[in-house]
This record gives sequence, structure tokens and C-alpha cells, in this order.
Amino acid sequence: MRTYFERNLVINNKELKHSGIFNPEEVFSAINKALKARGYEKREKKTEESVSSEERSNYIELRPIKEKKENIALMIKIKIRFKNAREVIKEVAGYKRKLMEGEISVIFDSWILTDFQHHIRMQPLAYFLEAVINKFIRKVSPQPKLTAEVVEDTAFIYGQLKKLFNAYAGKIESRISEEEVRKKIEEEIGKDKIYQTLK
Amino acid sequence: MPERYIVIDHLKLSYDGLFKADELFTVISGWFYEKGWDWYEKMNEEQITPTGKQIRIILEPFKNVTDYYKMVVSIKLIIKNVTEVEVESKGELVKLNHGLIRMTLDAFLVTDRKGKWMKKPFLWFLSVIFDKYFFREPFTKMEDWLKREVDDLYNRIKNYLNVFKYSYHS
Repeated sequence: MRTYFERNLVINNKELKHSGIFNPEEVFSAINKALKARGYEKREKKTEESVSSEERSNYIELRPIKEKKENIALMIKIKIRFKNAREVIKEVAGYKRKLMEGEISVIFDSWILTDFQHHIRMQPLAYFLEAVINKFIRKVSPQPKLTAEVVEDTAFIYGQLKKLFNAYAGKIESRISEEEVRKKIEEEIGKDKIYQTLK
Repeated sequence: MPERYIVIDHLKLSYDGLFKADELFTVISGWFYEKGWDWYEKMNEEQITPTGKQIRIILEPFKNVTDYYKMVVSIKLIIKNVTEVEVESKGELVKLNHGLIRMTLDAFLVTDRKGKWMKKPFLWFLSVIFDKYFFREPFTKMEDWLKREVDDLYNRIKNYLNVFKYSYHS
């Protein structure tokens, strides 16, 4: 297991909410498929559950990781919270299905994890040269490209989940496209600036 | 001292509701027995307070996989405010426990478990070089094996507690 010393938060607390019926297995399946499509290694960190006689509340935290190079990785922290969930039987397309009814909130935190500490930053001359080149010649840091990639990946997963939640709600006409989500998130974190630095 | 590499770092499970403490313990010990692990109970502490029983258990079962590698799983089990309740199920009264379970799982891979390569600095240097460059593949295999074992145990516990299961394979 690798340890990354430098952590850079790119997306902070991007929340997706859904209230109504849902199937937890389908939610996890949608997340898994999206993660696989984007090349992430699945990792589960935490499961919390509170059960009372009437309802149950859950919290599941996933920390999928994509290793880019030996000392660079992207991580999306996905926090899934089910609130006041109870089992219901609904008729879907003529078939009776056991589903859950309640509130879901999915929160995304996206991180760039690096470990340059033991490479370039431990050598004073290399560290100095990197700083000079970054300041006066051109940005050699891989950060902007990685930021763009982790934002795209998060937007993709967000889009897939949004699509699923809309399907539950029957709002197919108001389905939000992945492109729209990506634009929205990019606006939020100011990706224009990143592209300018890349050019 | 053998080298200890962390493979799973603080995998957590928390549950607040009804369960049977002795059954939960049997589920855990049963899994290790089935898989042929050696049992090691590091700590077992129980306090009775007005709010209920407070239980703290630390388990460190291990499995000697080869002469060189050893897998260790560390389970910290804290059960708070355990009270006995009677619940009616199918017309019968069933005695159950109610409380808050907090479980933390860590998994380690121990290399040179007998400490043969630690006796002299040169031997230690050789072992590091061999581990890092020549026998990288067995090390990775062991890591994957340990990850799968912990995943299986974690799912078994979640199945027992009937919590929402995030499955890697769905």
C-alpha cells in the first residue's frame, strides 16, 4: 500500500441528492461500472449502519484510486448516505419489485495524491530548478492535466448516478447529460485558468 | 524483527441496532477456523456500567503462508452500551442484544517471518534487494490474496449484520 504525502483537493463536497424509491444494488452497480470505465481500482473504506424498528440509515465511504505513475494517483472519495430508508414493494413494468424508499445523498471529494517529497523535493538543486522553470519558463508541473482528468472522471460518475436517479423518479425528459455536469463542475473549480496555464 | 507491510489500512464498520454478541464473535472466529488461520486474541475486556456492557476485543489472527511470508489481520472490536432486549419474532420471544458496534480491520503482510535475514546488516540488505527487485511478483500475489481474504471476512460480517453491502463485483 502506497503512502502519498501531498494531497490536493480538487472537488470539495459536490453533492447529489435523491429522494424517493431506489435500489441500493443498482446504485452500487452504477458506481462500479462508472469506476471501471474510468480505470479506477475499487476501495471501500467505511460502512456504518443504524437500524431502528421502523427505518435504517447508512453511510458508506468508498475511496477508489487510479494510479497514474509511480508517485501520482487520483482519488475520488465517494460518500453515500441513505437516510430513513425502508423497504417497499412497487410495481415496475407489470412486475412487483422490492425496493427501498428514502433519501440518498452522494458526496464527491476528488483528490490528487502525489509523492514528490522523496524524489525531486529532497534535492535542493532539483527543487530550485523546478521552481525557477515553473516561474519563468513554463509550468512543468503535471497538476493542471491531472486536475482536468479527475474533474472529468468525477463528472462522469456524477452523470451516471444522476441518470439512474432520474430514471427512478421517471424524469427522463429532464435527464442531465455528462457534458452539462462536466461544464458545471469545471466552472465551479475554474478550469479555464487551468487550460490557460497549459497553453 | 521481520518486516511488516500494511495492506489494508483501517477498514471500518459501524452498526447500531439489534444483534447477538456471541453470534457475531462466532461468525468472526468461524471464518478464521474455516480458512485455516491461527487464532490469537490479544485483548478481551468487558466492563459493566449502568448504560450497559462495554466490550473491547483485539484479535490478531495470522496465517503462515510460506516459510518467508505471514499474513496478519488485526481486528479491533468495540461494542458499546450492550443491553439485553426481548424481541417478538414469529410469535416467539427472542433474546437479543442492542448496542453500537465499531470495528476496525487492518491487514499486514509480514516478510521474513522467522527473522533469518535480519541477523546481519548485509543479509538484511540482500533481503531488501531481493524483495524489491527479484521477488516482486510473489509479494504482489500475497498482497492480493490478503486483500481478497479481508474482503471475504468483511462481507461475511456485513451479511450477518444485514447491512447494505457494497459489492466489488456488481
